[in-house]
Amino acid sequence: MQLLEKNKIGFVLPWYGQNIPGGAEAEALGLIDNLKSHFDVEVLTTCVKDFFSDWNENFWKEGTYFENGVKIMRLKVDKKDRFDFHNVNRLLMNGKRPDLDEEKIYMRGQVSSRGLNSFIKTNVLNYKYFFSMPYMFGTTVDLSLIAPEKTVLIPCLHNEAYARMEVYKTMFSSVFRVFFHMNSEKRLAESLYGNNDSFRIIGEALDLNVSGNKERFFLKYGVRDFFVYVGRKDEGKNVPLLVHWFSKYRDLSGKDVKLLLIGPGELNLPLPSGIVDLGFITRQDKFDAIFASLGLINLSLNESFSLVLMEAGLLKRPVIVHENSEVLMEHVHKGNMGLFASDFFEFFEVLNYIWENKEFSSRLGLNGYNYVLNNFSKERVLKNILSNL
Amino acid sequence: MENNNENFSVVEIMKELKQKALKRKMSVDNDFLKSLDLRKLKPVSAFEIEKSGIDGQISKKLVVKKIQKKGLYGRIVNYGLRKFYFALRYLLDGLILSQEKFNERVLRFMSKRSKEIDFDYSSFEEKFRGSTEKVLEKQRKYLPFFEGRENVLDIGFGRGEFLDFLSQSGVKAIGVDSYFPFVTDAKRRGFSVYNADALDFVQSFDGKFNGVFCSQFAEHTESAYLYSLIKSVFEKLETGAFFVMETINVKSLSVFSNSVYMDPTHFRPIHPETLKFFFESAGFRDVSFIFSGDFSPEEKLRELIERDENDKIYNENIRKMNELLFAPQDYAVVGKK
Repeated sequence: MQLLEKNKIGFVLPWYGQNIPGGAEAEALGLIDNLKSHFDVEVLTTCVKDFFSDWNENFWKEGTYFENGVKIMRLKVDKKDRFDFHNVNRLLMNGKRPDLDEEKIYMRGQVSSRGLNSFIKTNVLNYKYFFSMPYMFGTTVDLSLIAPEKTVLIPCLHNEAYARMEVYKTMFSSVFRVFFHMNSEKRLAESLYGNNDSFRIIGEALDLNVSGNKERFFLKYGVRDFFVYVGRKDEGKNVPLLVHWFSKYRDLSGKDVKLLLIGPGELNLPLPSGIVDLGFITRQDKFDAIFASLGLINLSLNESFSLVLMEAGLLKRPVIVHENSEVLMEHVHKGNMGLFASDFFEFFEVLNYIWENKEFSSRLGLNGYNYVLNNFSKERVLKNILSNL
Repeated sequence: MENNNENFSVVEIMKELKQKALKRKMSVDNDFLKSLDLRKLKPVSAFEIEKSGIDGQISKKLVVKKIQKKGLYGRIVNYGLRKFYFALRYLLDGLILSQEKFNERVLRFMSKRSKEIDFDYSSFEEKFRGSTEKVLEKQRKYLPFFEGRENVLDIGFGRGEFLDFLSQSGVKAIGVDSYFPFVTDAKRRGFSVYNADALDFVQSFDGKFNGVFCSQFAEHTESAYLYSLIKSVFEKLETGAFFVMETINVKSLSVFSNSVYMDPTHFRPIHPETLKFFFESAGFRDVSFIFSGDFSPEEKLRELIERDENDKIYNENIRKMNELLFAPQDYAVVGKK
C-alpha cells in the first residue's frame, strides 16, 4: 500500500469528462489513459461541466466517481462575480497586457475551488506528482502555489497576451517540471520566462489509427488534382493569403489544379475559381481528402503543434508550410516531410515541384509517416515522460 | 525527438527552388506583379492581429491614471476611476462588436454574391419560369391575404409580378431581392425595392409589416437560414397579418425531372410538412397549404374506358401514379400571426 501511495499521480484539472470539448481536455484524457499503466492516476477537479458552461454552476454533485478505471474526485467550484474579470479577459483576448491590479482581478475571477485546494494541501504527501494543464486556469495556478515541488505543468502554451502575465511567469519558474509538446513551444516559454532546467519536451501522443480512401473521396466529392487546407478558416491562420497565392498560382501556371478548404469558420472573401470551400466535413472525409490530395498546405504562423500536419504525415502526403512558422518548420526539418515558401514566387515553385515530381512527393509523405510514428506514439511519449520525471 | 535522415534534404531542394523563384520574379511582367496585392502578401501572425486594429488604439487612449492621494479619499477616488474606466471600455467594446457584426454581415453578403453563378438570371427565369401571365394567374389566389393592407413585403420579388399585382390592387408594397438586375429593373418601374439579403433586411427593418409574401425563394436557401427568416418575419409582422411562402412541391415527383434541377441556383427544396412545421414553431397559427400549378390532363397518364374489373384496377393504379408523379408543382404555406 505504501508503495502504491508513492506512485500516485493527481491530475488537477478545471473540468474533466469523456466527451467534453477542447484540445487540452482531449489531451488530458489521452495522457491519463497512457499514464495509468505506470501510476495510480486520480483526477482532482471541480464540479463544473466544461469550459463553455457556467463556471459558477456545480454541474456534477460533489463526490467521488469512477470512469474507465480512473478515480475522479469532483469538488465544488467557488462562485464568483465575474463582471470585472470579463472586462480584463476582453482586454487579454484583444492582445493587451493587463497591469498588476488587472492581473489580480483576472486571477480572482478564474475558475478555482477552495475545496480542491484544501484537499491537495491535506493530502499532498500521498501523491508523488500532480500533473496540471493547461497553464491559464485558476486550478493550475493554485496547485503551483500549494505544491510547486510536485507540480508537473503541461502548459499548451501559445503566443498570446495571457502568456505575458506576471502570475504565469512566476508559475513557470517555480514548478518541478514543465512539459512541452515541441521545441518551438519550449523556445517561446524561454523567450517569455527565461531559460529553466525544468523545461522538457515530451511530444504529444497521437491517435495513429488514421486511414484514407482516394476513390471514396472522388466518388463523394468528384474532385481530382487538388491541394488541401484543413483548419479554421480565418485571417489568423493566413487563409486569405493562401487563397490569394493559390489563385495567382493558377493564373500564372495555367494548371487546372484546385485547392480545397476544409474546416469551420466563415471566410469573408470571394473565392476565386479553382478554390472550393467544403466547410466542416466528417473526420473520415477529411482523412480521405488529405489522402487523395497532392499535398496539405498550411501557411499559418501561429501553431502550437499542428495536429493536421501529423495527420498528413500519417496519410503519407507531403506538406507545404510558411517558412516563418517556427513550429511547422520544425516538423518539416525534423521529418524531412515537406517544402516551404516565404513569398508567392517560392510558393509557385514549390507547388510546381510537387505537381511535377509525384515520386518525390511520395517520399516526402513516407518521411512524414515515419516521423509521426517515431515521435508521437503513445509509447514514445510515455517513455519521454518517465525519463523526465 | 528523432529526425528523418533520408538520402535527400528538403533544405537542399529548397535552395534550388528559391533560385528558380527569384529568376521567375525577375521575369514576370509588371501587370502580374501589380496584381499581387502587397498588403495580402504580408503574412500575419495572430498576435499581430490582436495587437493592431481599432480596439487596440482606443484602449491605448483609455489608460486612466490613478491619483496619488493616499488614505480613504485616494482609495475611493481610485476605486471610482477604475469602475468608470471599466464601464467605458465595456461600452466601447460593445460598440466595436456591433461594428464588427455589421462588417461581417456585409462581407457575408458580398461573399454569398460572389459564389453565385455569373450568368444572366433574369433571362434564365424568363425562359424557364414561365410567362408573366402564367405566374400572375397562379399568384392571383394569394391576393386575398393582402387586400386592403399597407406595407406588405415581397421577399425575393424577382421579375416583380406580385409587386405589380399588389400595386394594381391598391396594396402598398415594398420588395427585397439580392439579385441586383432585378432590383434596378423594379426601381425603373417605380417600385420601392431594396437590394439586400432577405434575412438581414427583415432583421434590420425598423417597423412592422402588414403582410409578407415570398415566392420561389425557400428552395434557394439552407434550412437554418430559412428557419431564421421565418422567425424574423414572425417578429416583424403585425398581429393578424399573413405570411405566404410559396415553393416547389417535392411531393410531385415530376418536378425533380424539371424545375428542381433545372435552376442551378437551387440549393434544396423543402417538404411541405417541414415548412409547415417551421411556421408553427416560429409561432404562426392557422397554418394551411395552398397547392397550385396543376398538370393538364394531357400531361398526365391516361385512364382507360372502364369495361371490366381489370380496367377498374388499372385505372386505380393510374390515378395513384398520377398523384405521385403529377401532383401540383407548387405549394404555399400560409400562416397568420
